[in-house]
Amino acid sequence: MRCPWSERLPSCAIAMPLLDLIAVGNCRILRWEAWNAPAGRWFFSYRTRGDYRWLMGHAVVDEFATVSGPLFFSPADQLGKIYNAGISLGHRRDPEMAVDQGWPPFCAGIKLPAGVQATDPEPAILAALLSPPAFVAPAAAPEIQLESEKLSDRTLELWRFGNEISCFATDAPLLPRQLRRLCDVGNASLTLALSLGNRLPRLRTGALGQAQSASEAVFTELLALADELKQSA
Amino acid sequence: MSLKRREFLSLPALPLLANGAQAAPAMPSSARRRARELGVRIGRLTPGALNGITDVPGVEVGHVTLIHGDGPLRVGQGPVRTGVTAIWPQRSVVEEYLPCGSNVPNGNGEMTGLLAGANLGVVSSPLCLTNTSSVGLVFDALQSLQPRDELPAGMPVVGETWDAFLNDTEGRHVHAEHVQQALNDARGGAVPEGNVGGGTGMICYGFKGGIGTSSRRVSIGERDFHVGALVQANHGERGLLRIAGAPIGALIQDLKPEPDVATTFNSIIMVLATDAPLLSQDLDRLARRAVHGLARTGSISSNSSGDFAFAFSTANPVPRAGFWSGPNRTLQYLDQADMQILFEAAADAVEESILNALFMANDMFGRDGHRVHALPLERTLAFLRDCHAIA
Repeated sequence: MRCPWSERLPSCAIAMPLLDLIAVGNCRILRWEAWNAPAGRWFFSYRTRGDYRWLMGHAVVDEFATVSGPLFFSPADQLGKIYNAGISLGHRRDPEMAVDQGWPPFCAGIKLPAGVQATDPEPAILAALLSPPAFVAPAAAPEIQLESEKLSDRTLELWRFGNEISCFATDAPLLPRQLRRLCDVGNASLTLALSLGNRLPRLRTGALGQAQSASEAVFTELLALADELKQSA
Repeated sequence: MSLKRREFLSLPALPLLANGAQAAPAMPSSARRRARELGVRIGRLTPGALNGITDVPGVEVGHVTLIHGDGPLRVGQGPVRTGVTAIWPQRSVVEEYLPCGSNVPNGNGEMTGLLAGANLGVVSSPLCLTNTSSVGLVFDALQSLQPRDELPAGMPVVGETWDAFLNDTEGRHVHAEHVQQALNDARGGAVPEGNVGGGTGMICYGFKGGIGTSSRRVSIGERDFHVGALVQANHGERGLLRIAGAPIGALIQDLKPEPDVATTFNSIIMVLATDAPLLSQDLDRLARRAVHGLARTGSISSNSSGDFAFAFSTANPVPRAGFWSGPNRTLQYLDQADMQILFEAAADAVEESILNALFMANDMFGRDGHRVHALPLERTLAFLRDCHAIA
């Protein structure tokens, strides 16, 4: 599936998927950098539908529209444990646990089918997080589907966690309001949208930042692509 | 001096400890008194009998306070200056949901369960307040209280503020048994304030902060209602502190935390309870008024502050099974034309709760010999008299 606007974007070819999947027991983690990468933030948004409510760490996203660490997914009744694993990771990055160094961990809960046993995931998750990112296509997991569209110079991925959660990731430089609109394309209980097109630096005072922004024309065509991905997923 | 979290965490231990002296976990001080007992009057409404959140019938509060160790920080060992505060909106809340609402003046923090409140309009668990790093563990402990049936577990409400200036926060010393103890020990009656529970290691306007509570009793028609507040106060810059309108922070420029660091990165959790029959959309409105009380003490909800207000009503309990299924249910509600006085009560109660946290907290030494001074009451009262803020 080619994106007709791709040629109009600056060249930024990426040969591999944007996100690296870690699977530990019933938990899943999406990351895009090594755990000890320099401090940084990425524009991020989410939308919920219906009564979806198993979310922790969203107040900072509500306030700043950024995320700075991996995205955690776990059975709903394991949320506290996986959140605590995220806290452990945050302290390892920096005792300060600032909002540009993985705090707070953004954790989303999944309703597991009856009979699936949940176990304490923290030790294994922490060990996995501390490993280098593989950035290879994820191993097939029953509840996860990946649709990735490699464009000539941009990538849009759609990750699905069961029927409840969808996650769009793109290296197109989308601003938070565009990401919110991208979330609207998803029809899951929780839809996430992450742009890796702008890496905001460490929080600091007295400095001006710069962010790229996709035009509305480009964004509209990206929405269409997202809709196609959703239909094919 | 303005330092960020990272910078002050790397500060060397104070000379006190470098010389081998041992810091006491908490300094004895002259008896602390609540603001109202010392003549500070906030607003024109009358407090409830206890002047606390427990004036709302059925609301119970329990603290577990963890204070042990001194000297240099050793992650996992201490010094420990932290705890957990548990609030039962009603003991039956797991089985009988209550309407709730919330407001977030600045979201650089964590309060779990807000999405559940926003989407469902009810709270289904006790609330807990603790330190930043313990949220996951406390949340997990609360989640274990939820019924295990086919209905999805509710989302517990856990609020946090950052206590790493005094406490080994990375060591995560609050465990499930502490949460259970706080829940078990929760009582009605007077609520301990200051360096207790989740507020143990907190700093407010550069003075020792912590837990504070207050309430107002209001009459609407033929009926009396209460609005109670409880705060975990860990916010604000010294120069901004105002007490009863007087610029106390500008007048008391000594007694800064040692080492002297800015506290603009800190946060406040504000819990409002009422027995007035408010539905969730009006509890959102009530929660917004908490910000007015917060602002009167000088806060502007700084960029790095996690300021959260959570409000619940003990009226209209909804049985869990009936919430998820069953026939229509009838809810009472207060006409919105009558909410004015509740807004005033909420703002006043939050303001006085913050002052009570300041007035009741003692000096404290913590990790690496860090020290936070209590608000000097006699000097404060003298300034308040000079400013004609008290008689």
